[in-house]
Amino acid sequence: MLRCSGAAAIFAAMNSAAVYIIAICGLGGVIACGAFVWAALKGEFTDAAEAAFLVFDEDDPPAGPEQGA
Amino acid sequence: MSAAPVYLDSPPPEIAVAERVAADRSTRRPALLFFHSAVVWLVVGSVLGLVASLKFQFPDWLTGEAALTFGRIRTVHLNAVAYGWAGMSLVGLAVWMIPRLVRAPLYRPGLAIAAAWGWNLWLVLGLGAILAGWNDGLEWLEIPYQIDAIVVVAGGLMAISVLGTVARRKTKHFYVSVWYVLAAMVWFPIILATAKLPVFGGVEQAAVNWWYGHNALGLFITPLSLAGAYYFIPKVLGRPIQSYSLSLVGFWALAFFYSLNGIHHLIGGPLPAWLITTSITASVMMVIPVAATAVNFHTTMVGRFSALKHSPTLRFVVAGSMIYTAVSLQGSIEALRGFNRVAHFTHYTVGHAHLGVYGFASLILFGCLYFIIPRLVDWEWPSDRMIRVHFWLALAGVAIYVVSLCVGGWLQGEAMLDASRPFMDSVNLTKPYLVARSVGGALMLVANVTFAWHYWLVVHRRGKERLEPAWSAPGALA
Repeated sequence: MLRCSGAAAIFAAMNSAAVYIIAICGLGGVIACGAFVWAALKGEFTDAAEAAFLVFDEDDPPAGPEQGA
Repeated sequence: MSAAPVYLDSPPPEIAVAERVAADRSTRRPALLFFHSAVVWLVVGSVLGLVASLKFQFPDWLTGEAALTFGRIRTVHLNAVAYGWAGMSLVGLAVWMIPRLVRAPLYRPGLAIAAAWGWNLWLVLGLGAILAGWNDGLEWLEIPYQIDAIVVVAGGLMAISVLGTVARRKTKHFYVSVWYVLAAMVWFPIILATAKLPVFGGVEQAAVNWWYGHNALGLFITPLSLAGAYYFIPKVLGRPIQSYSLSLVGFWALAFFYSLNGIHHLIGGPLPAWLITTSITASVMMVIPVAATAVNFHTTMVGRFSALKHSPTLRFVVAGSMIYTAVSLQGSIEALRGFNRVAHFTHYTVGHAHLGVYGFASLILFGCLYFIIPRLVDWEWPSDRMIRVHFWLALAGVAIYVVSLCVGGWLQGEAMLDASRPFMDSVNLTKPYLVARSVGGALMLVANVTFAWHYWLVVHRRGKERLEPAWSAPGALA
């Protein structure tokens, strides 16, 4: 039966792609959760109806015949 | 009587106009550079795609040079359309859209211009390397990592410009399109850098390869395309998205569920069962953001479908959005083990991929460009007829392509699973479907060339003069 010392086990684990993937996914998860919490605290989700109108501009030039309304 | 919506993020009209003009002026050069480059890559990639498809009918054609063989031509086609056409036009769309949505000029436009040149340099060297036989041997990641360093720098410059713009925003809220763009700008470098880490091998490398390959579509192309749809459907209709809250649900659900999808490409492979099951579960969970987006787009359009007749932007974007629903649900079904058992390793997957990148992303992009380009060059598209021809050729082409490959691929899969039939049966039965694939591909090529020619005309201000001012034009407010 193969036995590994603590250091060897850590080294073997470091050779596994899972370590990198888990670390990077963890980082991504932290970033996503951080962004979500930050957005919630900033009120992004509380008065969302206002944000829906950000797409419109007062100065939109009148649409040409191909552009419709 | 219902009260009119409060428009708290809106400054007084005169200030709004000045901010808008400043924003559009700041994006004009970098956005045009990205769009010009994207259209060139579209034509190059489309020609190579048709050449690769025709090789199924004429296998001895163009075999004298290694660079012209199927393996290299098809690979260059994929990279040219995915990173050249879709990638560059989507980044150009983000560059143009973000300053408008945050009411701030693009931060350091020179960085965005340098990013566009860097992106082109990366593609020229990368595709040249593939043609020369030098590649990393991983699908969607064929460009050698030494050359990929260029796009890392270019992407970094682009991110600085876009994130710097958002940091200087004058709006209280992020519009949902801004969320999608910011996420794509963060996700893409992470997944690319991770996939290129020189630490993976064997089965692990395959897992990382498909984790990247699927996420390049789902965490880069998809969010940027949806950002465009969420911008232009309300914009052209003149009414806000039906449920803004639902759009945020769609965004966050995509953010939390999509990244695990890619491993379903390896169902049946030598990977831990829990890993594949997790991926299948995540793929099915994608029904949530897709349904949220589909319901939102559809209910926004209800009662206004007649606008499709008059607005090419709306026509392309709505068609692309509908196809997004179809291709996403198809993807969720494909991830199920029973379905995947037949469809895997067949032409079915190729049909699905084209429905995603062309039917969904490219149609939305065409629609966006029909809106944006006249405002950037202060000249209207010369020919309504060419736009209609482009739309119907593109739609017919992708429909023929996808239906033929899905049907042919399914039959191919069933034949391969039937132990009583010789393997060559599964090859021979696909022949008529591969002819249909070439026909569909030819129609898409003609559509793309029509669009490119029309694009050249409008950029060079040929044809009829635009009647109304484009606010991005120099001196428009003077």
